[in-house]
Amino acid sequence: MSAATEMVEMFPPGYRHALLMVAYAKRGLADASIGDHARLDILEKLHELTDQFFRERVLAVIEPMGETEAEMMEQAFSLDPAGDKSRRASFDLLTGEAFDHFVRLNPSLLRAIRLCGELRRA
Amino acid sequence: MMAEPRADLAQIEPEGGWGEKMKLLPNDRWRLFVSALFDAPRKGGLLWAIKTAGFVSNDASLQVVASRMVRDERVADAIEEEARRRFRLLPVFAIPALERLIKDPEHKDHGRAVSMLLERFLPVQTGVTVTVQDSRGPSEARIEQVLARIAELAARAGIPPPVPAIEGEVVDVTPSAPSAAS
Repeated sequence: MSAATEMVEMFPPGYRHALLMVAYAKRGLADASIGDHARLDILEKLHELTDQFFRERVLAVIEPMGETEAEMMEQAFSLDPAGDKSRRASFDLLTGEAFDHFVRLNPSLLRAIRLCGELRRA
Repeated sequence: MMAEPRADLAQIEPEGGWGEKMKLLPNDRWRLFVSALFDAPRKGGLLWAIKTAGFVSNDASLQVVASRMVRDERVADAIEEEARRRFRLLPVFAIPALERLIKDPEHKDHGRAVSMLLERFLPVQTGVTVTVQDSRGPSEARIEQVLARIAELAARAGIPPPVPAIEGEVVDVTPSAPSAAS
């Protein structure tokens, strides 16, 4: 197992989900048609995700998702039963078996994981 | 003072005739006895009813006969049937009485009567909403389907599928160095 793979394996599922949601949200922010209120709402939610482990610098290195990843996210969300606010089914899939695909498609996720580790050690 | 007994069967027989249980009684005097029990005074009611039904003897004997009759299963059944029939007729008397009561604010039971009517016709409604939520997750097949679609999308973007982890025991097959002793 490579060091990078091990790093990803050891990264907590909650933060994996946060990484994906940040990349997904940034894709939304890049959409010119989005309204100011929605933009502000997304930005506020992004900053709410930060804590002592998942810092603002980590947030900054994550690049927006591409079309393929966004479609993958939509596929995962389709597993959530209507009205299920916990989104448990998509959470399990995205942070489990599907996560590797996202890391390979968006190398900034791996950089963010690495940065989390570095900041914690610093 | 005890009311005067009466024995006019024609006056008390219902318009549509007696019910099935009443018909099973031995004769009209028995039927009259059952019917009279409902009109009997509180005190000495049995004696009054049996005299009303036309039984003749001294009071002591009539009291014994009446006591036996009310313990007879056929009479009990007939009483039950007659009670049900009379109960259905009660609204004819009860409603005018209730009307008088609610129109009389001075009556001591005026408030109770109004309250009872409102409770019956405009009851406080309580509702319980039961929300049934299906908390079952997606099926294994559905998860597999989505995973396959995600892998397909990744592959289309030029990302090879991740190498599956192989679980097993690592055995070191490197030949050991010869010991200094040998």
